[in-house]
Amino acid sequence: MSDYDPEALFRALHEAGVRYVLIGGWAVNAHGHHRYTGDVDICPDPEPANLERLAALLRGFNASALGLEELSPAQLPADPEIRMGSRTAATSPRSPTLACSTSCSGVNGGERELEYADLAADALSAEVLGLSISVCSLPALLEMKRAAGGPRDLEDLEHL
Amino acid sequence: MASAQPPKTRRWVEAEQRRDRAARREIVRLNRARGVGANLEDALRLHRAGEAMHGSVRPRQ
Repeated sequence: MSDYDPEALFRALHEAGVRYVLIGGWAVNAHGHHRYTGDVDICPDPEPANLERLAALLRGFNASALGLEELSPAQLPADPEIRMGSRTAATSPRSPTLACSTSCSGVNGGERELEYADLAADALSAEVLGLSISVCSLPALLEMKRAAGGPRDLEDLEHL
Repeated sequence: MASAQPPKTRRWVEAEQRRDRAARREIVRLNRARGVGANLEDALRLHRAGEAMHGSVRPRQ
């Protein structure tokens, strides 16, 4: 897999049987505002076996959590957000390529955490590349964007 | 050296910006009606095109 190949990443997640909801910039694109995004943000199902599949997949393509030497499933739920890139890309402009968040701030200022179950409850199914990709709903996406409140998030809010 | 923009020009620029934002919102509205699958497919196609043209100049995250 190249350093940043979202298509290959979606396929790999599917083939590994990882359950997740797509959030972040690719979800913004899925909801109709096309813009560049430098990584794939997902909220994985925190069920241990699912996290094990995700960790195994990432180890399989020589990925590591940035700043961590080894990636273990136990690190996934422990760290609210782990950004991952390939080892070789960790110091290059191409990393990270995958950001996994087991909980995401929602409501203005992050007054509540949106977890996988919240996002999966009203997620939409995108049929693309012969795969079925679960995309967070527009209300959930807007809530996360309002909570994040960064320049790009505000720009997304204006368009969405 | 020119001084501040005359009011008419500033109003014209602001009107252009409003039209631009309205057009972008309309594009998103039309895209949304096509569904998340079609939009994701388009986004991946645009990503591939962007990589082909500008992949070597991606800014640091």
